[in-house]
Amino acid sequence: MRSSRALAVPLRRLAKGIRPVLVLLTAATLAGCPELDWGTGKSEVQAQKGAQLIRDYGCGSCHRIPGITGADGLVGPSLELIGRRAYLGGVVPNQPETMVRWLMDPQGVDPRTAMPNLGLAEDEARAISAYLDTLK
Amino acid sequence: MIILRRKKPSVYVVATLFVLMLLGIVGGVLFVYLGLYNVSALKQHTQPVYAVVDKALRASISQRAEEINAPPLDGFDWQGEGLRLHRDNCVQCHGAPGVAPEAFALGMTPVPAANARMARERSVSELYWVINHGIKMTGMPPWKYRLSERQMWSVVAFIKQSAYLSAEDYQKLVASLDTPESSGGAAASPARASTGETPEERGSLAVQQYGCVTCHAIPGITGAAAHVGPPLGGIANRAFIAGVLPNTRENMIHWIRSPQEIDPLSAMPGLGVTEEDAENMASFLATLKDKRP
Ligand code: HEC
Ligand code: HEC
Ligand code: HEC
Repeated sequence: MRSSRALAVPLRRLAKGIRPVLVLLTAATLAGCPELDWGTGKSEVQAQKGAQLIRDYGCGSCHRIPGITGADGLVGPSLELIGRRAYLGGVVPNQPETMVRWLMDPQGVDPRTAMPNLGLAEDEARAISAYLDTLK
Repeated sequence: MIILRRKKPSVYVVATLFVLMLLGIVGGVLFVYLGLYNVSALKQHTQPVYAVVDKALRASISQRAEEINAPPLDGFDWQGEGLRLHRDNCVQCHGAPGVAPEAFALGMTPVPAANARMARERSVSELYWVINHGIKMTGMPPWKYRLSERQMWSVVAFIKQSAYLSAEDYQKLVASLDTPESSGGAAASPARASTGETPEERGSLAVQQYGCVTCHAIPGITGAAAHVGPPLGGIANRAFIAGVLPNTRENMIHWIRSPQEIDPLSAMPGLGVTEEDAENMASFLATLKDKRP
């Protein structure tokens, strides 16, 4: 995260410089195709909401989570590349649905697990799952 | 320098290149004939050699798999034929959810990829291509003359579906087969991986020799970049093992030897690790301290 802040200034300058070019290009492209994907689809908005929820619920006190400042807990496993992990809690195959189930009710998945039930609502669990899915 | 430059610098460049090339060839020949490269399968390739070979392997497979037209997999009986063929021909080397490969397979170099990993990371056509052709110099046999095309697609369908199976689901499916004799499973005869000076060194070798690298990313171990289980970097500082057991040396040894005794639902299989090797592995894992970012 520190590096992204260091990059911000030169990037902003660059953006200012190429703005006129971009405006022209955009105008030209828009004329041709009405639907453009700017990469801020629903899932990205979801993921950003998820990141905020991860901060609010303090998941970082137990997990190391890339992209979340101060998330360096060592109680549970690191969530680095969690999107690639084959099993959650070492027990269920990692799929969007099982992730939501795991987040809402870890003991329902593995009665012995030390991950607590944090009382997440389903839409919260979905948003968090969307963020975790970007870590791969 | 000024004098040299007047006298056609290109001559010196060419001469230097020529000498370097000659040295390269002589060096290469000596390297081969003096047997300098260590072919022992007890040690993984060096990191640069591993990286190059691994890249070449992946590129070769994905290039050739592009030409395959995969049929829709719904048409294949993955729960019956696919599961049975996989259990009888593949589990011995690649394992299945909660089932370890045979002892001999854990000692292979390269060690066969964990089933869960290929299920998630390989496309349907890549799986089919590898099953059909095998992979030279790895020990992966080609099945072209042993399985029919339909059988190979059934195996592919099973592998893809196995990504959705927990260890428990898998056991249930196998039990429902009409030929439910068990196969694979933990190593029958205990292996021993105890060369090395210190317990940590012996442990680091044992972690390779028992195939832990097929499922875990482990810092400092060449080729250990799989994400079937959690990454083991920082495991020394982790509060729990597998989220259920306080992280003490005794518990770690117990976990490594029999994960299912601790968490019956766990997808990590028992690998037939001896007490001594597990002790060394625990010593090695204790060196994997968390590095604060
Ligand atoms: C009190 C500590 C604690 C808190 C708070 C906590 N977790 Fe966990 N978490 C754990 C433990 C311990 C495990 C390991 C569970 C297991 O393997 O059985 C775990 C496992 C996980 C896993 C599965 C990781 C894997 O490798 O299988 C995910 C994903 C996860 N937690 C996400 C979260 C999120 C998101 C939050 C916040 C909403 C959160 N955790 C809050 C302790 C915690
Ligand atoms: C077939 C894949 C597989 C193999 C092979 C494997 N593991 Fe695991 N390992 C897992 C899974 C999945 C988990 C998560 C288990 C759980 O939480 O129930 C795990 C968990 C662990 C943990 C706990 C990690 C944590 O964050 O709490 C350790 C330590 C570990 N394994 C060590 C080893 C060692 C040492 C070997 C070799 C002897 C090995 N593993 C071989 C799949 C595997
Ligand atoms: C004698 C042991 C052995 C048997 C039996 C075996 N394999 Fe392999 N397999 C290997 C080895 C070794 C490799 C190469 C290392 C690697 O990349 O996994 C490999 C590689 C593969 C790969 C590519 C893995 C990757 O993603 O890199 C696939 C897919 C595969 N095998 C499928 C199968 C299937 C399906 C069967 C059963 C029909 C089977 N194998 C039987 C040893 C074996």
